[in-house]
Amino acid sequence: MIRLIKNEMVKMFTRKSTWAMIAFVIALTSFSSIVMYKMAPETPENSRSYYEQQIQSSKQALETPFLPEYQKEELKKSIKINEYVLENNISMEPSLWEQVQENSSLISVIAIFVSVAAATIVASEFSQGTIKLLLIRPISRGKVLLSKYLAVMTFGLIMMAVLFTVSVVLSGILFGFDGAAKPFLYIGTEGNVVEVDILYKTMESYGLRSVAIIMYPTLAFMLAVVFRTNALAQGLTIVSIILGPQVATALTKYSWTKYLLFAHTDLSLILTGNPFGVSFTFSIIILAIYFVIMNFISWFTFAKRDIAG
Amino acid sequence: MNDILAVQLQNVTKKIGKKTIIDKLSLDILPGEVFGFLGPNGAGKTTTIRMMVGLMAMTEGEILIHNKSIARDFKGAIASVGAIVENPELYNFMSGYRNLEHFANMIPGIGKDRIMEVARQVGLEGRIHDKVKTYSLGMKQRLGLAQAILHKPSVLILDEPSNGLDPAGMREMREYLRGLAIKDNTAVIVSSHQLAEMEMMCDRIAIIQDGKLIDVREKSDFIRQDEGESWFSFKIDKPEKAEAQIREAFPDLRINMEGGAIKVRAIAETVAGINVWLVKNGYLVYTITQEIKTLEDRFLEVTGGRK
Repeated sequence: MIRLIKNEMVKMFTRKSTWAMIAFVIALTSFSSIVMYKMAPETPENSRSYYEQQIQSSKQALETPFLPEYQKEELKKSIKINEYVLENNISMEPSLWEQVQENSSLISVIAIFVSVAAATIVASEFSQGTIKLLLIRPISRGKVLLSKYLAVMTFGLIMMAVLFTVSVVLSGILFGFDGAAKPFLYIGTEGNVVEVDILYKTMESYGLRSVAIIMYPTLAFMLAVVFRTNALAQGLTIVSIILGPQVATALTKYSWTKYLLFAHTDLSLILTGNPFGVSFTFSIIILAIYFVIMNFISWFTFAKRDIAG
Repeated sequence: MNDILAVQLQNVTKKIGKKTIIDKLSLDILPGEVFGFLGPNGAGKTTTIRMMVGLMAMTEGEILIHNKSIARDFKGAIASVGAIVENPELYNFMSGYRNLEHFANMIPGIGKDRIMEVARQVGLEGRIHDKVKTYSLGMKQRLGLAQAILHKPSVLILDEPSNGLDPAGMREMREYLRGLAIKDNTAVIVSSHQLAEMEMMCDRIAIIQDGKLIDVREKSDFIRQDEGESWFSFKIDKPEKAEAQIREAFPDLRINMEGGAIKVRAIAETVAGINVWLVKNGYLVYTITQEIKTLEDRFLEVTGGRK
C-alpha cells in the first residue's frame, strides 16, 4: 500500500501544475501577511484613534440603503468588538498569531487546489488511457482507488503545512516573534463579547476549517470517478466551493438547507453562531454521512465499472 | 480441471444493453504457443482481450488463466498475465524508467536490475531515462512490451502489437515473441486485423467476426495445399490459341484464362504432362507457378469476403 501511495505521489509531483499550486499558496500567504502588516496601525499611540475610526466608518456603512441583513449584522458585531477594545483598554497591536489565525481563511483556496489535484489524479488516468495498465496488476481496484485517495489527503496535509509554516515564519518576521499573545475577540451566541487565547483560537480555526480540505476533494474525487473527465469534476467542485456556502446561506429560510453539505463545510461558524441554527454535533453527523456516501459512490463505481475506450 | 492449458475461455458472452458483443466464445490456449485473434475491426477482439484481463466483466461464461478464474480470483489469475490493451498508453510526462518503476512497484519482487534487464531486452536502454513524450510510436510500443514482461508472465496478451513498428521492428518483435514461446513456454496471445502479419507470427489463429468464433485453425491448415489438385498458372506465348487446344487435349481439367495466363487445376504429374505437350506443340513456356493459398484467401473465404 505504501508503494502504491508513493507511486501516486511521484506522479502528482512530476506534474508542473502541482508545484505551481504550492508556489501560489506561498505567494498568496505572503501577500496576505504583507498587506495586513501595511494596514495595521503603526504605533500604540495611534491605535486608539485607529479603532475610533473603524467604529466611525462601520456606523457610516450601516446607513447605506438596501444593505443586506447579514452584512448589517457583521457591521454591528465589528462595532461591538471595537468598542469593547476601547472600553477595556486592550492592546490590539497586531501580533504573529493574529496574522496566522487570519491566514486560515486561505484554507478555502487550498480546498480548491486540493480538489483540482483530486480530480486530476483520477481523471488523468482515464484521459491518458493509463487506467488500463494500472488495473491489470494483482491489486484490487479498491486498493488502487484508496491509494489515490490517500495521496490526495497527503497533498492536503502538505498544503496545510505550507500555509501554516509560511504564515508563522513571515508573520514572525513582520510582527516579531515575541509579540504579546493578545486575545481574540468575537461575539458569542448570547450577543456578548468573548475573549479567547489567540493561540488556542488559531489552532481551532485551522482545525475546523480543514473540514473543507477533506470534504471538497472527496467531492471532486467522486465526480472524477463518475464522469471520468477532469473539466467536469473540477468545474463542479470549484463552483461548489465558491457558490455553495453562499447559496446555502441565502436559502436559510428553507429548513432543508441545513441538510446541505455546504451548510457545514465551515465549522468555525459554529462558534459565532451557525446561520442554520444547528448544533456542532448535528454538523458533524451530516458531514460524516456525506463523507461515507461520497466515498461509497466512488468505490462502487470504480470497482464495478467496465473499462472501455 | 486441466493443468495443461494456459487460458480457457468457456462460453464467454458479453452483452451491452440488448446488443450481444461477444457470443458464446470458447477457446483453449496452450503454453508455448503463439495464438492469434484475427478479425475485421469491430469484430470483438479487443472486447475479448479486455475480458481476459478483467477490465470488462463478462455477462456469461468463464475465463480461466492457469485454472484461476479472472472473475472470482482476479489477483491470482492476473498475476501470471502481462498485457498491452490497445495502444501502449503510458505516462508521457515521466521517463521510460519511471514508468517501468511505477508498474514494478505494483508487483512484489521486481528491482532495479530487472527493470534495466527488460529495458535492454526491448532495446530501449539508451533512451530509458528520457521522457516518454519524446518517444516515437515504435519506442512506446517497446516500452509497452517492457511493462508487460516485467514480471515474466506465463501468459502474454498483446493487442495489435506491431502497430507503429517499422518492418525491421516488426520482425524483431515476431522473433522475440517466438523466443518467449519456445524458451519460456509462454502462451503469447496477439490480436490483429493484418493477415500477413498473423500468418508469420502465429501457430494457431482464431477468426472472430461479429463477436462469434468462426474458426480456429493451425497455421499449417491455413496454408496447406489441398491433397493432390491445386491451381497452376502457365505463362506462355500465344495463350489464347493454346487455351483452346489444351481444352481439347485435356478435356477433364478445369481451365481458366486470367490476366494473360492459363490457369489449370491439376495434380503435379498432369502439370508436367501439359508442359511436355505445350513444348511439343511449339509453344514457349516462360513460367509455371503453383498458386499457394494464403491466409488472406482463407480469411476472405471464411468470412464471406466481407470487408
